[in-house]
Amino acid sequence: MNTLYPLLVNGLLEGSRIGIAGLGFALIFFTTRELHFAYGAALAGAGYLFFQLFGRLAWPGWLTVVVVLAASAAGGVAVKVVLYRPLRDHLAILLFSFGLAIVLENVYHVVFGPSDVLPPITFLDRVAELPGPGLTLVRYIDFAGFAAFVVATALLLVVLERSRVGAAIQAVMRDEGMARLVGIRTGQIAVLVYATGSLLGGISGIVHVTRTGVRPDSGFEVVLFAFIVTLLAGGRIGRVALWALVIGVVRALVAWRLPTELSTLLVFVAMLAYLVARAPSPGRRRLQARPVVATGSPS
Amino acid sequence: MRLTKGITTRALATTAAAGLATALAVPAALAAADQPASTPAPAGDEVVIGWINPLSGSAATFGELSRDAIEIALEEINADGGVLGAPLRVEYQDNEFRTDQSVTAAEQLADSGVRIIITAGSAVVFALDPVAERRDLLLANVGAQSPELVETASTYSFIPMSSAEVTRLAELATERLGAESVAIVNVDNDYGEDSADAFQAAFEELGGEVVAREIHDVGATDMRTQLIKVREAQPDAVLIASNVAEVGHVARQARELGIEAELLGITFALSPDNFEIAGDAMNGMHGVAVTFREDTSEQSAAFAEAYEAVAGTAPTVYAATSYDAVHILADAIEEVGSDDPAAVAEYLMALEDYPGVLGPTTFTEERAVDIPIFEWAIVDGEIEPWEE
Repeated sequence: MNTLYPLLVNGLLEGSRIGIAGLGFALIFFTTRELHFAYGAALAGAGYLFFQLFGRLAWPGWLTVVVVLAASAAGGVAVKVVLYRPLRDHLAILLFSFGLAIVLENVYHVVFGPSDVLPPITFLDRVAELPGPGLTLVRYIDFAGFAAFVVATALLLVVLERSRVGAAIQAVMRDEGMARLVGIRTGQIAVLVYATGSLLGGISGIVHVTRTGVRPDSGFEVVLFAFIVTLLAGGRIGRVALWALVIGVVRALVAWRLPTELSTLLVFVAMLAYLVARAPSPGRRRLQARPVVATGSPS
Repeated sequence: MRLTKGITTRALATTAAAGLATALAVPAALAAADQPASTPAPAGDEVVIGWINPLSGSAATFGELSRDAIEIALEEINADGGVLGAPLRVEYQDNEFRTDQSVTAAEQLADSGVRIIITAGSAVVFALDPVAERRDLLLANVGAQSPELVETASTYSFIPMSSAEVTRLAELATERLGAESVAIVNVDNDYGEDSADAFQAAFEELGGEVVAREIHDVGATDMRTQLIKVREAQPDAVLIASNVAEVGHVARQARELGIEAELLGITFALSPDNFEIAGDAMNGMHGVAVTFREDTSEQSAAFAEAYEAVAGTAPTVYAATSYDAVHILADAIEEVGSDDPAAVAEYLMALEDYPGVLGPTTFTEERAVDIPIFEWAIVDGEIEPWEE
């Protein structure tokens, strides 16, 4: 039986999960230079909220999704405005976000307990067989998660490239000081990206809880990979999505021929090698977090 | 010193300290609030047993159920006059299921005069055994089942080793299921590896073939990559030698991926968490386990009732081993007149048919209890005897 094809499909799904989280994390970081490590814990919170509303209270799925995404966006804005903004310094925000993540994990532990929670099996867990070599079964909910990733990536790129607010965001990404000088309200832009990034985190939380469940420390691994793809992307949102898929595919290819337990290890080895190869040498431009895409000036 | 515009070194340090202090203080406060109320008596007025298990992190479930059961035992023992005329107390230490923190906790307990420590987790027990030997401690294992534990020097196991379970399971898989090929999915720790090795040895000795072995990390929730490879091997049965919750994820994802092979499990499979995660995917699983059944005896029924009143759920085998361990250790200390590890160990090795809640309990030469093993099948979400 052919395993390469089903492993690659599984790898793409895994990559899309990393990608959704990465898009939100990267959008916040590229724009504000703030490493919002509590993003993972917030994402887990979205998963818990989905589980409570859909799994426990039997709310309609569409309503649950709307509420979870709205709550995620609102939560992100609250974190930015109430907690991070008074700190002002990026290092202070980084340290605070670690503490906030730990606090949230412990709150989840007390409220929900330490065990994994999954929504009950529904029609969304039904599988469809993909055409192709080897038996490849994918759940409807996983199709939806992948579609959400593709749509989110496309929408972000379109908004950043073609809209006035996207141009403003890119201006802030490139040079916040200059953007402020030309009249862009950078404070509002920061709030906007926190809202948008956190909304994407909410999507990631829903995907996560429906695929493998959620526990208090679920967000840590997600934010770790989100950080990695952000680092690899070098300031470009599109590359965040691309690197996420690359990671998923590489893990699948490694697992195809090598012991599965080596897949994550070798991905990290490859990543380190890439970063070393990309490191600046005399005469080369420094590794930068700023985008290099040229856009029209904000109107 | 001004670092950047608007912030000084002092402000940065204050913010960082506040953030770190919050991160450290809140979990400690929450854990402390979660501790059972206990009034520490002055030294010499109580007998103290140590306890090192997870109360936070991915394995916290185990620690909480063990602690709940121990508190029931302590209440009974102290209502009956305590031990050596003094209250018996357990000093709980959270190790987050980490070996480094376990060693630190053991050293701290030994420094405070504790001679007996209740613990679990094969990796933790292996890490603590040298400490126990050096500090003259007795380790009371209530959950670790790695067959290699019989090689340790200071560990007395109140739960049978998994080698006994998996050897019997290999026989049953061959005799009752007609399985000629098995794939093994195990957790990447001593328990998983040693259980898988023991099963493979037993199954191959019976003429069977292990056609795939896949490993997953401790606490993993997505084993689809491993299961896709297992499916390719087309086994007659799949043994899941994983921890609580991991078994549930494997079972659920195996059925999702169209694996129709028989699923086999051992003790950890019967935890309610797996049923919460896997739902109907657990149906049809067969296995063997050291398990708690409240209809075993009057003591079992009484324990089940008391535990449900405290924890709100039926006791698992680990709650039962913890409960029995405290009672047996209390009897041992009372009988030998002290908590001297050598004297207590001698008492344990002479223990025969102790009426524990898990059934008649006898220590074997390998310093592990011999308790009846339950052969089970899961039918419509219920655990039933595995009929021939």
